[in-house]
Amino acid sequence: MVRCEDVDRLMTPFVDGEIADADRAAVEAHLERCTPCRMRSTMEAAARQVLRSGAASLREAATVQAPLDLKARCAAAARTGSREAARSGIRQRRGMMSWRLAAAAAVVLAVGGVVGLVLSRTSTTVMAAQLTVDHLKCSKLFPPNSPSDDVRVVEQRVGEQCGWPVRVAGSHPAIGLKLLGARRCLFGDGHVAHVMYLQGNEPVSLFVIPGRQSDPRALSVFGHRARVWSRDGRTYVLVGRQDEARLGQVAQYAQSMTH
Amino acid sequence: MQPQGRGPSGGVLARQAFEEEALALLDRLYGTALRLAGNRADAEDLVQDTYLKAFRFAERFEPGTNLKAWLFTILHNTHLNARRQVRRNPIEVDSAAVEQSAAAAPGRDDPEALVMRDVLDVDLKAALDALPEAFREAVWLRDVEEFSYAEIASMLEVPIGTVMSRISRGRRLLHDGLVERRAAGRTVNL
Ligand SMILES: [Zn+2]
Ligand SMILES: [Zn+2]
Repeated sequence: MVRCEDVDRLMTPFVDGEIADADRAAVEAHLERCTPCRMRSTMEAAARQVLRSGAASLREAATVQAPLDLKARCAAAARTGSREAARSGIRQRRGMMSWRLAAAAAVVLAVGGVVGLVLSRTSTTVMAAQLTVDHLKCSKLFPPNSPSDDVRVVEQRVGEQCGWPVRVAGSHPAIGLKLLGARRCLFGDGHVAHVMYLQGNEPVSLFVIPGRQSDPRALSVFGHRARVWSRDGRTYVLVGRQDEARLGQVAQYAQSMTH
Repeated sequence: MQPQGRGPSGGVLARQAFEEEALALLDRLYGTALRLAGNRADAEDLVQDTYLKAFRFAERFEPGTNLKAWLFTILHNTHLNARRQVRRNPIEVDSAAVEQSAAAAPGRDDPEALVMRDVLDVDLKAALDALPEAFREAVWLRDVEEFSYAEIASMLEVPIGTVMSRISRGRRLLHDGLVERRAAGRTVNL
């Protein structure tokens, strides 16, 4: 004979349908006879039902866009391999603050005078994550109202800023691509050329990074897609929110133009 | 961080897939961190700590298991540890008291209480928010995030039996809250 206390223990797995067959039979037999336990199981099942049918919208409401600099810091956490970070950052808040500032500075701010990249320890994903943050930041800083169709001028200016030659692919109406301009952005321990486009209304960035090799990859991070490839001692990272096919068009075009 | 595994072995690509998948969950973790920490600054610290630990201990993650559960576990454990440093074991004290009061609460036998269709999302969210934290978290992890009892036990650092009883009482408290909300709404409408 199963007692109420025994049912108590089995109630949640019973309601969830995750109970052993033998136990289920015993609980069902008890519920036949015991009104309070039956009432309780009905309440619990009803609440479960409501929760499960509302789960998608509850999850959506609870998903908050994390701040960009937090995303950049988390991506940087992977990059540093966390050794120094863990030591100096995790325990005390002071340490955390300086680590956060350092990471933010390394990722976002222009320090100036830093030449040459040490990127071998940076994984492709982390690189794409950090560049996606830069893409979001720069698309806000540079409103798409002044397209530049003079590729030579853009190449010359960004080449001077970076200190190494940068090949820039110009506008390409057939795929709805408009060149906006280029600037030097900070990445890792050095800087990269950041070439900005619009495809339709959607901002697209092509980053040109010297001195790194990466196998061709398509990946997604922070709701964006990225295409990565290397050629002639440069690595290219294309970032945008387009679907795979549209971004693929840009990738194909950029590959044909920059090599 | 109980899981013991081979980690994202298999080289660079596996590591990258791991990082990619982990970073893709950042908004979800941040939402949860906001709920747990209650303010943005602490939520950001919590998320950053979580990723530092996740990447640092990546080799302990068992490939093929639930990465979301693993990250949520780190997040919750980090939150619990931070709170323990502020006050000694506040969670256990709080929830023990609450569980007693819940057990003492009289059962409801209003037949109308059992009609739970047409619950509005806003009502559901408000009723959930009104639950004591220990129950809200257990119910949320089970019915909204759909984690297993064992996963929730390691997140909240309590035995599986406690997880089940918190889910059970949390659901019934939620049920009562929804019924009261509906009754209140009806009074206003009349
Ligand atoms: Zn009974
Ligand atoms: Zn930029």
